[in-house]
Amino acid sequence: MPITQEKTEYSLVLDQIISSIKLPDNIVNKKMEALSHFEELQFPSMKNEEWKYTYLRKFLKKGFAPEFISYDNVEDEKIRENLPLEADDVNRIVLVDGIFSPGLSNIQASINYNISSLSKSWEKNITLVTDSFAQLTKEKNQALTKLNTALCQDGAFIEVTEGHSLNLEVIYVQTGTKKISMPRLNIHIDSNAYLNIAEQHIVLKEGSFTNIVTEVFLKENSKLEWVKIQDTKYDSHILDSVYVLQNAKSKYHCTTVSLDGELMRNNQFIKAIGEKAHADLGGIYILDGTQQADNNIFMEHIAPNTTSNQLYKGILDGQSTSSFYGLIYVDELAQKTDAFQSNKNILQSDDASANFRPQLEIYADDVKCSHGATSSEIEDHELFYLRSRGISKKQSKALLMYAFVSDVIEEILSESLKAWVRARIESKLKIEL
Amino acid sequence: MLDIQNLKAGINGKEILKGLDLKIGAGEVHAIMGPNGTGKSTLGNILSGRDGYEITDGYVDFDGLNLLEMDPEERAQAGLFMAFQYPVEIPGVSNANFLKSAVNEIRKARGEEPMPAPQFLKLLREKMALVEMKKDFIGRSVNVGFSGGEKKRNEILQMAVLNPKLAILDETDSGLDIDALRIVANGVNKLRTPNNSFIVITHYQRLLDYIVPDFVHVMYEGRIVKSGDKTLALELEAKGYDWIKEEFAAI
Repeated sequence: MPITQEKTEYSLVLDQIISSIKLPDNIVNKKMEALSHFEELQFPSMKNEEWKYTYLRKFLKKGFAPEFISYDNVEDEKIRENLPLEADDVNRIVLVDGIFSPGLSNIQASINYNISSLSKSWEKNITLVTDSFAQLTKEKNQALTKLNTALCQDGAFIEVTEGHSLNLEVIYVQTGTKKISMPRLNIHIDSNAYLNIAEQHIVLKEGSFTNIVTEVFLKENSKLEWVKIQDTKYDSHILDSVYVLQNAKSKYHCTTVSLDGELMRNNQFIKAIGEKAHADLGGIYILDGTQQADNNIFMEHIAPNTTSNQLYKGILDGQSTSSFYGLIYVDELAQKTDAFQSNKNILQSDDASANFRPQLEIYADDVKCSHGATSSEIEDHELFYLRSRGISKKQSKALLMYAFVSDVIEEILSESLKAWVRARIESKLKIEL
Repeated sequence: MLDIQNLKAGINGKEILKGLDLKIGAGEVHAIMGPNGTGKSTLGNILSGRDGYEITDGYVDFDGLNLLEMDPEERAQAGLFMAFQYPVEIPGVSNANFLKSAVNEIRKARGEEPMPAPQFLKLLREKMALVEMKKDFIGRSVNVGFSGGEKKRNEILQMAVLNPKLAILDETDSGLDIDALRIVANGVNKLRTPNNSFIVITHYQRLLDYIVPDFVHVMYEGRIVKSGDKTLALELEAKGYDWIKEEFAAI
């Protein structure tokens, strides 16, 4: 077919990707299809209901654009110095500007799981990856996800095989190139298998913008527990979208902790298609200055007897903004669904704002759904109680803020992940114990 | 230790304390009794530094310090303690961490080094035994899921760990069954020394069977209208408060 249209900047990037790595035809096709979708949709404006409180174009105007990222700059020893210490029994994936770094990653060979660079798994034409790529994302009209599908160059493929478990660290490194990086994860957890992920971002200098997309396939009775910590030194921009397909009795438990960064936008698209699947979504954001944290949840109950629980808590100071958009969709077949949603905020300043928009779409009649939101301040009598014990006002406030978010922390199942989150929040709040 | 002179204070323009005088010496236990709404709890709140009260006149000297000028934490650091009627719940913060934080902030304010963790734990265990707290209490969140009696015992435990010069017990007996009352009173009695003083605010004589006061004061209409020894409490128990009201009305 002759090309009649002039090539856009995005399709030029895609051409570069196609000429740099050997992609199977179906990946190329999916990418081209996603690109044309993105070009129809374009970057969302504030007229888009889901972006009402997030002026994305303002952030993009700082000069961020999708560009081809070289595959060769991922072994820098300077990056290694900035990475956290490695734990003994944990596998580590390091993605530098979205590109898998074999040198910085630490993968122990095992028959219990498979971990590899996503681009390598494309090149090897691993059908589990190539077939499932974009399977969950294609249904949704999410422009930024389409952009990632079209222009992601790399990322990781993770498979935990039947009955096994894996502890994994995922570290996204941003080197500050002004290029929008597009990491992509493709995760498969087999029946009765368990994956535990500790995720964090390391930003080396200003000027970073990342648009991450993950697709997760949870087989019967499998479990994923995931903690995402967004706590970057420099003003960074993180867009993170997770698409999850839950089969029967699977458990998805994700806690997103947004502590530092200019824009931290988290999308969760969860589809419970098997009976007794359960999703637990927790979030904590502690913001200041002009920081913004968004949490958008699209929870779809398709099968009967599925349950979900959303608990998001925020503390906002300065002129910071948060936005919580939570949809609970209950299909007509999804009888006995039990879905709960809560967003609570403490506003520390008059200029801070917390926005909340719940949405319920329920087509079954025998369901339990509840939602609620509050914005409040720290209670004087509580503050007084702590101060009357000799604790300074500042420290008393910090302890009460910790207390406010503690129920989200306590819901984390893995003790090591829980301890990690506790420590990061104590350090953020400057709690001295 | 404490010298309250002509204290006048109110809330939202309504005067509650109307010129209250009270002197407390080292090692003394003073009970403050009186009918509802006479300003007993207001007195406790003002002494411990709660916001929201307008102090229109008077002076409070606490061991040479101008108490009313101080922040709540400064009062605690100077050795004042209030056992609350309604203690606050602090989810996610363990009793041990909360108390360690309090002990070390007080030490910091006094220019002392933080207490080493083993020494702190030893102190905490010792004081827990005093109020008959179970071991798992150390890791539990402050007051979360505690029964009324446990909350009050926890107040006494905090008092025991912080070892104040002056402790104010604001209706610590309210809502306690007889066993909890005995534990609480026992805890207080074991902390009595020639240097520590107590103000026990209560409605009922019952608590004073266990914590025997040196002085009993009756508060009415924002003032102390009658003072005596422990027999005054028994008299109040037998006769009620009406005769006090009548006596006061006659003045």
